Parts: sequence; C-alpha cells; structure tokens
Amino acid sequence: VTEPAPRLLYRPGDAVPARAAAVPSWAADLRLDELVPALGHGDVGRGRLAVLLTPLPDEDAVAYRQEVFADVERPALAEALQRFAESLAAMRADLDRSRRMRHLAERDRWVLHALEAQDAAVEDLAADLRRLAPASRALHRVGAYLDAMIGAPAFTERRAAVADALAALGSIAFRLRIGEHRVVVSAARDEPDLAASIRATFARLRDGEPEPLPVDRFESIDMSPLEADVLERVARLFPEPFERLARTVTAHGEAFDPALAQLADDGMWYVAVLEALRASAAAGARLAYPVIASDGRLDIRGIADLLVARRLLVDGRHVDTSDLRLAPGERVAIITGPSQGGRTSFARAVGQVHVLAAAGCPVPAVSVTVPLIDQVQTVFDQTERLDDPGGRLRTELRRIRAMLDAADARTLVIANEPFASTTASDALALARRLLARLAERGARVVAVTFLEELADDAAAVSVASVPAADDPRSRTYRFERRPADGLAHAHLLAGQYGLGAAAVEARIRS
Amino acid sequence: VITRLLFPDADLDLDAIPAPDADLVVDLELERLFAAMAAGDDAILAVVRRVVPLGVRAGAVPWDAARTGEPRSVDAILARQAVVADTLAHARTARELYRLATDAVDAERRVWGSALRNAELVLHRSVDVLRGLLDAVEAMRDVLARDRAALHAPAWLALADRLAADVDDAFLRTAREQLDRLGDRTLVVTAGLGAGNRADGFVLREGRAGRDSLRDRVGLGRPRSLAIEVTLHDQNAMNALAELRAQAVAPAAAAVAETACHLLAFCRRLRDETAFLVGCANLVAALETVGVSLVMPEVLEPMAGVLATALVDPCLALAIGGGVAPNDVDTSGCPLTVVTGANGGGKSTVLRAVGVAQLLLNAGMPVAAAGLRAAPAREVLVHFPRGEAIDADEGRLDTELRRLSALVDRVRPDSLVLLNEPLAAVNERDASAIAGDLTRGLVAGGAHVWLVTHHHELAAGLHAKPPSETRFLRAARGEGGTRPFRVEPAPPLITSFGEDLWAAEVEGSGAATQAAKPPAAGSGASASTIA
Repeated sequence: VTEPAPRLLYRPGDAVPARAAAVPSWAADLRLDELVPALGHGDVGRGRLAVLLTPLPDEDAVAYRQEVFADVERPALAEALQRFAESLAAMRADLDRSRRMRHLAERDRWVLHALEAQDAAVEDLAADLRRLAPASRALHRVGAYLDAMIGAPAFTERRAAVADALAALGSIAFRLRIGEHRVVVSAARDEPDLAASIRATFARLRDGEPEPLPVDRFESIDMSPLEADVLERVARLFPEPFERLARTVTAHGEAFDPALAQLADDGMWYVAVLEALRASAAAGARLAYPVIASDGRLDIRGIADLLVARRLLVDGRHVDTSDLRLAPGERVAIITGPSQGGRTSFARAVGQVHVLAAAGCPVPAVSVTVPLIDQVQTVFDQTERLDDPGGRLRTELRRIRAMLDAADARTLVIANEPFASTTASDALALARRLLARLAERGARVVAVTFLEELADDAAAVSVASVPAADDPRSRTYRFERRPADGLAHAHLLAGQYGLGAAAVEARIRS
Repeated sequence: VITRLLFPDADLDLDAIPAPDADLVVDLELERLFAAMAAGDDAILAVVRRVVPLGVRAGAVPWDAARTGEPRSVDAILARQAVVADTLAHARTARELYRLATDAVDAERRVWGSALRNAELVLHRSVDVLRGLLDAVEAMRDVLARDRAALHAPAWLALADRLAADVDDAFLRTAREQLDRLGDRTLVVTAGLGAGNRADGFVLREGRAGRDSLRDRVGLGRPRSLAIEVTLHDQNAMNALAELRAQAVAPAAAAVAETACHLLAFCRRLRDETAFLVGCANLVAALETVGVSLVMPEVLEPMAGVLATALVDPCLALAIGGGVAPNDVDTSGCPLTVVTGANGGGKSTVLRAVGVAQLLLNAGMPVAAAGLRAAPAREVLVHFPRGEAIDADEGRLDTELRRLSALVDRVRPDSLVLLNEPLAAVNERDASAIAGDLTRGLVAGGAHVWLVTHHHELAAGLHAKPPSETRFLRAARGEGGTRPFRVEPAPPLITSFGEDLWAAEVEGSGAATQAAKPPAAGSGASASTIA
C-alpha cells in the first residue's frame, strides 16, 4: 500500500491546522468548553474540542464533514467506528504490556495477541464498510484503502500464521499437583470437576442467578519465578506450540500500522461529537445540517443553548427553542427582555450554531442557514474578575480595541450586557460607537442588553422573548423578532399546581 | 429454596422495598404499632416498618392483576390472612423458625466477618459456614415436620413440603462428604495457557491426592511429568506457591461461597418473613393487655367505603393504655366520606382508625374492631395539617399547595386518600373552592376519599352537590361538653349564620336556628384528639 492513508476529517491535500494549546476565551464565553466531558475526558476531549473550534476554510470542506456525519448518524456505522477504535486501543495496550515482559514466551504471546487484535479490527471495519456502503467521500476512500490492505498477500499470510500459533497454544491442557512444597506438572487427564460436583449437589437449594462473590486472585503483574518454572515445564512437555510461537513473532512482529490509530481517532471524533450534540436534542428530534449562505443571509429555526438544553432534557423537562432570521443586509441583532429570561443563553446559542456550522457539524435545531464565519469574538461582562469600576471599563475597552482590529466581514461578535459597569447614558453612547465601528468592519453582531434604545436603531433588528399563550403577563424562554416591550414577569398561584378538578382527575388517570 | 410465606409469588426482599411514606407513619402514629409488634426486637422492627405499609404487593403482584391474569390482591390478602391466622393460633412454629434463622445468619457474620478475599481462606471459611447452614436448615425442616398437623395455610404447608423434599437425609450425607474432601491439603488442578502464556482456567479436580505413580515419574522417552521443588526457607518462593494455590482453588471457592450465599439468603428471607409473623403475634398480645381485641377483616371487592363495628385506633389505644371509645362506621357504597363537627370531637381519631384499619387489611393482618368489611386499597395516602398556621401568608399557602400537588401525583384509582383539615390556614372562601375542586377531582379520578374539615362552606358545597355517593358524618361533643369520641351520620351543620342574622335582625322572625355559632376562624386544625 503506497498511497497515504486517507483522513476522515480533512480532504486529501488539505493542510491540517495546528492544535490550539488552550481553550480560547470566546469558546469559554459560549460555554463550549463544557462539552469536554461529553466529547471525552481529559486530553482526548480537549483535543476533540479543538477540532470543533477550528473553522473550515470553505463550503466544500464543510460538506466533506457533513457527509461523514450523515453516515455516522446511522447507528450501525457509528458502532462499527467505535468497535474499531476500541479494538485498536486494546491492541495498543497489549503491545505496551509486551514491552514490559521479562520472559520471552510471555512477551511473544502478547505481541501475537496484539497482531491478532489489529488485523481482526481491520477486517471487521472493512467488512462493515462494504456492508454499510457509506455515502460520504471520506468513508468511501477509507473503505477502498482497507480493502487494498486486506487483499495484499502479506496480510493473508500473517493472519493464518498468527491464528495457527494461537490455536496451538490454546490446545495445551496441563495438570498441576500442588503439594506443600512441591508442584508436579503433567498433561491433563480426565478427572471430575470438584466445584461442579458441589454445585450439582447443592443445585436443589439455589434459586435464581448466583450472586457473584468477590474472590481476589491477588494476581501479580509480573510472572513469579514459580510461574516461570511452571511455564518452562509446560514448554518442555509441549515443545511444538512454543516453537511455532517464536517463529511467528520473528516473522511478523513489526507489522503494526500507525495510520490505523489516526483513522480510529478521526472516526471517534464524529461519534463523540454526534453523541454530545444529540444530548441537546429532544428524543427523536433530527439534527439539522446547516446550509452555508454566501449572501450573508441568516435563518435559524428551533435552537437552544446546547448546555441548557442538555440539562433540561436530563431532568425530563421541556426545552423552549427560538428562531432568528436576518436578511442579507441585516448584521445586528439586539436582544432585550427581563433578567433571568434566557437572553444570554439565546445569544450563546446563536454563537454556538455558527461555530458548529463552520466545523462541518450538524446542529440540534429545526433548520439552519448561516454564513461561514472564520472567527468568533465575545464581549462578556468580567464582573467576577475586577471590582474597580474605572478599571473594569478600561479593561473592557482595551479588549474591544483588540477585537476591532481583528474584526472583518467573517467575524461574529457576541456581546453580553456591554458597558454594564458605567451609567446607562454612557453605556448607550459607547454601545452605539461600538456598533458603528463593527458595522464599518462588516462584522455581524448579536448583543444582549437592557438598553432598549439600541433595539430601536435603524440598523438593528430587535429580538425579544415571546409572551406565554395562556397568560400574557408571563414570558417564555422563546425568542423571536419582535419589538422590545419591557413587561415584567407575573404569575398566577393556584393553577400552577394543577389542583383544579379536571387537572386532578387527569393526573390520577394518567 | 423459596420461602413464599408472605407473598404468593415472591419472597420478601427488604432491600427492594421502598421506604414507607414518612407522612403516613407520622400522621397515623404507626411507630406505636411497630413498637408493639417488635416487642423490643430491632430486627422485627426493621421488618414491620417496611412490610406493614407495603401491603401484599411484593412488586410481583400488580395492583390491577385481575386484568393481566395474575393473582389479584384480594387473593394475595386471603393467602396472607391464612398464614397470619395459623401463626396467631400456633405461634411456636414461627417463633422457633425465627430463632433458628436469626442464629444461622448471626453465626455467619462471626465466621466470615471481615473482608477476607484470599481464595484459599474464602474456601475454608465457606466450608465452615456451609456446614453450619446445613445444620440450621435441617433443624428448620424438623420444626416444620413436627408442627405440620397444626398448620393449615397453603403457604406454611408448601414450605414444610419443600424443605422435606430438598433437605432429605441422603442429600445431607453427600453434601457433608463433599465438604470434607475440600479440606485436603494437596490440590489437583488442570489449567491452560491464557493471556501472556500465564496459567489460566484453573479447574479443581477430584484427583487422587496420593503420590505420583512410578510410571509418571520414570517415563520412557519424553518425560510424562516434571516436578518443581519449592525451598521451605525461600520466602518469595513460598509466597508464589501460596498464590498459585489460591489461583487453583479460586473457582471452587467461588462455588462453595456462592452455595453458602444461597443458603444464607434463604435464612435471611425466612428470618424476615417470620419476623413479620412473630410481630403479628406480639401485636395481638400487646393489644390484649389494653383491652383491645382484633378480628380478621372480611375482604370484599368491589366495594366502596367501609362497614365496621366497634372500630378503634390501635395506635391510640397503645398510647393511652386502653379506654378508647369504639365507633361503628358504615360508609359502604360511598367513595367519599365527609366528617364535620366540633373540635375535639374525635374527627381525627376516626380518620386515623379508618386509615390504620385499611393498612392492616391491606397487609393481611387482623384489625382493631369487632367486625370489619372493606375492599383492599391500592395505597393509603394522607394529608394532615403540618404547622401551617391559621393566619398563613402567601408562602405558607404555597407550601401546602405544593404538598397537595405532590399527593395528587401519587394518587391512583382505588387509592384511599385521607384529607385531614386541608387548607385549614386559608380563608374559608378560597380554601373551600380549592379543596372542593380537589375533592371532586380525586373522586372523579376513582380515588376513595375521607375528608375532615371545619370549613362549613366546603362541607355544605359537597352536601348540596355531592360528586358521588357521599356519607356525611358528624363528631359532636356529648352533653355538657364531654368527649365521647363518637362520630354519627349527620349532614354538615348549615352555616346560615348570616342569613339567620338577617332573618333575626332584619326580618325579625325569631331566634337563630341551630347554627348558633359563626364559623370560628380559629377552630379546627390539628388540635390533638388524644386526651
């Protein structure tokens, strides 16, 4: 096999971006860092997050990944990739273990085991891909690559040699007579199983499944000299299988392919990302595949903050979802409404959708059309970090300065209560300046603010929470384009508890 | 071996039983009942606390089993009643089995005890434990064989038969012989090569433990066997040998320990099931000393309401040492019973008596009455005042509404719901509207409801427009303010105070009628009815 192994994440010839060292602050502001335990623990999860946070260069790169996601949405394909990754991890562990072994017969057996695991994993994945016939370019290429590998004579030959050696070792059955200070090794002979006899005798008194009992075997990591002595005697009693083992490892002991580990990691990125995103989608809901709009249009339907949605769904609660539509020329959305009303979560959700779309991922939503962005900038309140108000405003303005320098037409800015540390009239003036500068740069802005005047500005699109259908005095956590209205929350007491006659009857009968 | 003394198709598993509803235990003062059943034995107390509120549903018997073709709860109750009746007539059987099972379980704790998990130690301890358990099971078998003639309940007879069949003398002989063989110091095992070519898959064999044959030692050509000598003074080698021995006996140790666990589980279940029965015998004895006798209730289905003569609250009798006035109660045919009347007139007492009787009936136990007939209730749920003061603010109303809503979550058709002074702390108009709605909803949903209230508008509303067949009971102070704790059928007093006043003062047609007192805002609530 001379052609380089194909990647599932990047098209052939694409540059593989360097992995960022730390989670950028904008990703933390969007709370995307909290996906890490769901994406995988520790370094593995952080590595997968880094890929998720790196935008792709063009629409076709997005399509390349979306195709794979569509394939991986089939449970059988996701399971195939997962099995492959697990088998390769087990192989890796066997190989690492073999390096620690002091006894030749012990080490060789682990190497043999690792070879068996690798080759079986390759055969399994190749067979799965032939059977499942994925539609994506990437998985199609991988299938062809693996088929070529399996078809090579070296592979077939190795497979047979390893299987024969394992079978020969597996057929050995020996007998130990263990006395107080003497062990006699011989070939096994036909003698009744004492434990089975006892189980049979007492079978009449047992009911149901036996309770598993913790019996520690106090097994040491390394072979003891006595075990080594036993193995040596066994090898003398059964020489042929051990000779075959040595021959096989000498011939094939180096046949491990590092490209397979990369393939397993790439596959698990799709599986893990999909699983993490599904945790934020209601049961049975489909994920939406973003359409990339080249004219700057934005049409997002049915989104919610990924982390909030996941938490609500875990508790079995309903998730209010929101819409946002912006025509090609509209670049600024101003979100107003009561505190604690879900405004920041909605702004985060808009940011998250852009990031996911740019990484080629599907989104828990009804439908998504977004422009391709290549960076996200956030202006989030830093209340916890500084308490000198003058210092706070100064720090905020410095960060905004740096942000303005970097902003361009493919930048998305998410602002959360900007200039909250100063007076309302100051804040309004500053915010208008900020929006004007961003407009010059052509950046797109989603801002959460209590300054309702901003929503009335000509260039802005006003977004607010939707009143509850049954009680106009209370608000939902749903947002859509509508004028800012400033109504406070209110609620009725008794009906909230479902204690009306009809409600009670229905609850009993449910 | 299955026990099946308490449930028709399951054995008692205390760990699987959810903790009883804390409100039920507190409001019906069930701890007094449990204490009388335990008679100082903590193990019995632990069992009855779980089993009495559970009734006869051990998970395996669904409530509406009639529809799914499984045994109905009525049949399960009748089966339990038979077992309890045998126990009350002949308590020695249950008491001796309880003692044997308790001793066997306690002995195991002494022998096995700490977290010993070395296979060879586990093997030897397990063999000891198993020997002790075999002795205990043999003794149980003998007790049941001796008392068989005095027992009538199918569950008792089936247990006696099972032990006679499964623990016969031939079995005991074989089992004891095999256990002796496990004591040998020389082990014969077979094994194969596992991961890393280490010995694996040990199977302990009934091999000859004697010396190797001459043929094995001096074979011709290729050797038939090879020996390894372990030097006694080499501590590492001796440790390695011990490890090998442990590995060799591990599967056998697991088999023996597993068998011991099965027998032990049987002893635990038998201990717990007989604990409940001993508790029933203890309860009858305790109530006898305070002059209360019990009767096995008549279980009828379908039937709404209860028909009882000389019903008392056994918990109250145990608390005050007797002298509790009995009540005759007839609410048969009525899904809803409304109790009104004077404060301290025994409203809560009759409510508790009905609740406790229903629980005892559900559990197949005798009830504190001269006679009682009722259907099983799916569950008994209570709502008693919980310190929500009379002049409650919004927060307190909120708290009680949340409590009521949580109650409704648990109500199912055929639940018995005891509402004691709901929303006592709320103004009468609001309380009557909310509680009236709630009551109608509960009855419409198929629950059986007892409602005690001092809110006249609530009772009058239900009287004017009853949601179903409804029985109205009234507690009244006796002549001269005595407290007979009697509750009689009577409609709620009509609160025509305003109209009466209008009539008296404006129309001037005469004295106000019977409701001479306006509804006192401060009456009612949870004033204890225990003298």
